[in-house]
Amino acid sequence: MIEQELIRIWQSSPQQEQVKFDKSRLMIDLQSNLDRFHNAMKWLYLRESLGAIIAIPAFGYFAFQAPNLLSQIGAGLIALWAAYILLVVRKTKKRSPEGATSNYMDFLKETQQYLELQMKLRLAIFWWYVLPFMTFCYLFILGIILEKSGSITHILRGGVYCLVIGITIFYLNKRSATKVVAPKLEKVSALIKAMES
Amino acid sequence: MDRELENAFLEGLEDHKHKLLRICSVYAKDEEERKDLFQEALVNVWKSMPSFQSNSSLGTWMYRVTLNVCLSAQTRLANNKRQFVNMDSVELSRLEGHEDRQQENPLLHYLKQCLKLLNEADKAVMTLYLEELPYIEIGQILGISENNVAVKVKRIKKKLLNCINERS
Repeated sequence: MIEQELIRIWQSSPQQEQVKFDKSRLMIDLQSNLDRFHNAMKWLYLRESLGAIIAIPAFGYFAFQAPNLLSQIGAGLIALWAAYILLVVRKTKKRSPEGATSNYMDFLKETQQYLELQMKLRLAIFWWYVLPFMTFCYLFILGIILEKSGSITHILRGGVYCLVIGITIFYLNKRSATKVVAPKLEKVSALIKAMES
Repeated sequence: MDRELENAFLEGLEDHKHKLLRICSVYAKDEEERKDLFQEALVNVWKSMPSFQSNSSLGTWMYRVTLNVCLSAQTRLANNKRQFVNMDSVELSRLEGHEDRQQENPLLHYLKQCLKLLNEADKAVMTLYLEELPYIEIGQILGISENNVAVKVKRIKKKLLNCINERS
């Protein structure tokens, strides 16, 4: 009895509310939102890739032109590493869940896989990002030291910059893994479990 | 997008706008977020219209998109308000004489409060049940079996009625 009453009041609830659409403007709004979305995605990808796009030719140049062999190796490895980062960004983007039309369970599983990948990448940031970056950077700097082609202050400053960048990237990723990704992953996993039970 | 698709979208929206709004209201924290979710659902429905296949009804398909939008809003890695869409062409307003809905219908008020206490999975099942969708359709939207839906509905209904009884 109360069930039917609940269904009735539930279904009549927003009838007390007007939902108004200006149909012609709605179509314009929708289109402009889509355009904005596509532009934002393009910009996001460009922004994320920009560092790598600049680093590849710049360090590629030093790989041939640096005065010392160690610097050349360091620069070449940095260029290769930047290309690898570009590939990782592209691959991760492709895994982002876009299945607004798939069923709820499939959507949850897509989201779970995406969050697990994000978690894995962030937790292992030291091994695939920070460590190669710092090693190649110091290799590059070591070559300059051996060649005695730069002032000590500049070399030290370069070394400190590398260290600060490495520590910051490591810290930010670790933090976002535990504070942002982990709670969301936990929530999605609990939801999948609840749906399956 | 062709005119036929545009008309189908507008007709579907006219027929199901209140239902979609009800789904959003269960997942939203406040009125503003409800409107944001509703607008975002509309953009996603519109974006996916070319892929709509008529092996399910447009209404069922719109429920599916709306539920996924409500869920993804909660699992976004960047909790950024600016990620919500803003459309001036959509306006929600109370009809005159219905300023305070909750006072007029306490049962609805309790129902909404108790729905918000459910976990996201139970919310999805119960919202579709309250819309009187057949179990088989609920199963298709959620990606679970019809039997699983029946078991869940029975369990959640009991929980919901207990909650409402405690409050009323």
